[in-house]
Amino acid sequence: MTGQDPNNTDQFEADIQALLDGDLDDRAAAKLKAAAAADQRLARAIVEAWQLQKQVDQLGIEPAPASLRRKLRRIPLEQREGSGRHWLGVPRWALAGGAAAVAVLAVVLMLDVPGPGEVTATPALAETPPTPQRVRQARQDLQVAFSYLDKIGLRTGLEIQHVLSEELATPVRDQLHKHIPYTGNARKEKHA
Amino acid sequence: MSRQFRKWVDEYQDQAWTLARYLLRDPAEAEDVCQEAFIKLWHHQDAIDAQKIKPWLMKVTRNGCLDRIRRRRPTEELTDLHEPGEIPGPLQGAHQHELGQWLSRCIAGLTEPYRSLVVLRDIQQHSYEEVAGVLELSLPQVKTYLHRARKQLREQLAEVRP
Repeated sequence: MTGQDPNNTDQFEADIQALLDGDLDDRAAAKLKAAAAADQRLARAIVEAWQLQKQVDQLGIEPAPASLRRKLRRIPLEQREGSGRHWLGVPRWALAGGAAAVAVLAVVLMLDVPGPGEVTATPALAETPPTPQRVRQARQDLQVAFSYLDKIGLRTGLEIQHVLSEELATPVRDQLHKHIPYTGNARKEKHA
Repeated sequence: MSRQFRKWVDEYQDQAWTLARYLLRDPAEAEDVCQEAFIKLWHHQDAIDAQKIKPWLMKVTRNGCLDRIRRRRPTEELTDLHEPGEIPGPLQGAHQHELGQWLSRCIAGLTEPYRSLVVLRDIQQHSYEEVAGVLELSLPQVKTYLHRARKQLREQLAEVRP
């Protein structure tokens, strides 16, 4: 059991994990301690394992964003009403999520940008900085909002691509607007 | 029925969200998966043993995430997510918060089932038995894989720590 033995840490790996889980009995703990005293590599492995656990403990469980909380609360009502599909085959709740995301963005932008004649936020608000938890929550909400906006942008791009490739496949001889349906329903009506 | 459901939502929404966020980098997708999992819970609540709601929900959430990952282009998953070497370490003297973010990215960069194991056991503190149930693994498998996952993270942490 020397510092030269490359497998010593591996041999004690299960013991290190048990130690961190609080499952290591006294006898095994004493054995591990003695081994670590003689092997710097093993001692370092134990310290690193402990540091990692401390670090992971601090990560904790992320609070769900407000948009998700709202959606989950609506499930009983929506499921009783029956599920419906919407425009372009997107589930209604997905569109609601997108709309909610846009609303969140709008509110954030309104709060962030001073209005005409307004220099800054009210002194009372300026003096009370948001808590780290609120900032974290706000960041999450924004992240979700931007993610939805990205998806909406992608879907719109695909729709434009579809129109250009399918509807304008043949040469346009009269007015262009007659060849561009504005919605999926308009296209269905045309084909009906 | 809906009161009980709301209780489950309050109790487990954060855990489902955390799991989905680590498995899927896209928060909108994570949100969709969580919502789908809870909709399934709504429809199957009568058939599930009330004591097993949490592991059932975690399993459904994880499966939803894995389905979405499988549907992505294979290269996306391989190059972006599972290359721990590509994750830049925190700057020297980094703030604790930055170190935490870096560690989150390292966890998200683990392969399956290591990633789910670390999230369920180390972050969410589920028991080994619950984790085994969610991942459909034996108890010895859970312990062995978790050792490997922790060791991998430890080595990454050791590289950036002075």
